[in-house]
Amino acid sequence: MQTLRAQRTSVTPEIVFSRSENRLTIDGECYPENPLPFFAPIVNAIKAHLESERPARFEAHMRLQYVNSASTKGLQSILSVLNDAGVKGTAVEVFWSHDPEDDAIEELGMDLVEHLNYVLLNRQHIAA
Amino acid sequence: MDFINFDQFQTQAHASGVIFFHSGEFNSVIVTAAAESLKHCMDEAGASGPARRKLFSTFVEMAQNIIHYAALPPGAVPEKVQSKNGTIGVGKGDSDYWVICVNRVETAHITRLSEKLDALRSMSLDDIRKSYRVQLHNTGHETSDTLSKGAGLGWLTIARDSRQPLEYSFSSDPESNGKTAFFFVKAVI
Repeated sequence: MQTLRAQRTSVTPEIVFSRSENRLTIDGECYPENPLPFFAPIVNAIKAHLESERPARFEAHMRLQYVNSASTKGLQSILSVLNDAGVKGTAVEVFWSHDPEDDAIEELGMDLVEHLNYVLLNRQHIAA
Repeated sequence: MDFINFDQFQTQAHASGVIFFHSGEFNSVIVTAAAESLKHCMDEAGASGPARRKLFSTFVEMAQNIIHYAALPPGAVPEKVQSKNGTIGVGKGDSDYWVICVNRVETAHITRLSEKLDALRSMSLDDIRKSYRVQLHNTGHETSDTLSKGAGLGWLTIARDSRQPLEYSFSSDPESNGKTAFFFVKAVI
């Protein structure tokens, strides 16, 4: 089972999607002008994996320092795919880390999972 | 312009509190570099915590608005255009920061843009946050479809971070024979 990785760039976060560990990590700033080419392969890979493997649990670690408005839909897509897996029995936990002073990212996490009943959001502060 | 004129220009910008200014081409490479530069300018100006985050976000949203929506200058050949044009300044006032963005827009879009901004101007911060949440969920769950549409959150994001209603104005663009106008918008952080 291979791991899907995207290197961090100035405008996109590092992504590590470990199929064997059922774990997704997103870490960095996310403000590409056109987020679709960045998010689509990741969303599709996670979706394909969850649908074929139906794991008992899945963890996402999201540590975002800044997200532009266009990228919120990409994050929403990832969380929707996780929620779909939750509906089918996977225990989905999202660890949402944010700077203690950054209420925008904190609120974004809560807003994104507002209607997703099968995603458990754990909010954490990024250590200084 | 000679050195004396240039020095006056610089001095005036400094006296007006300008900490960052870019006028000219906007494309993703330039915006990425400008965003990095803005981070250093904000550090030098002592912008920290939430103000720094809001200034950065407002700059990125406005810059990406220029790339997506700015009208081309009169006479430009659309097939040959690789960048849009506009101006963004960021500055420090006595007790706040400001971001001003100027770009051309199609005259035909002025009414729609004015209505959108007037609606935001009449909303409380609470209303803006509520609208933001509604818009965030304003799509189905179909992945590719959701992504291909614009998020529709740009102006809500800018308005949410501005401590007073967004100011805006239009001025004529005589060269364009009425086809385009200049659009000015200001956020205060």
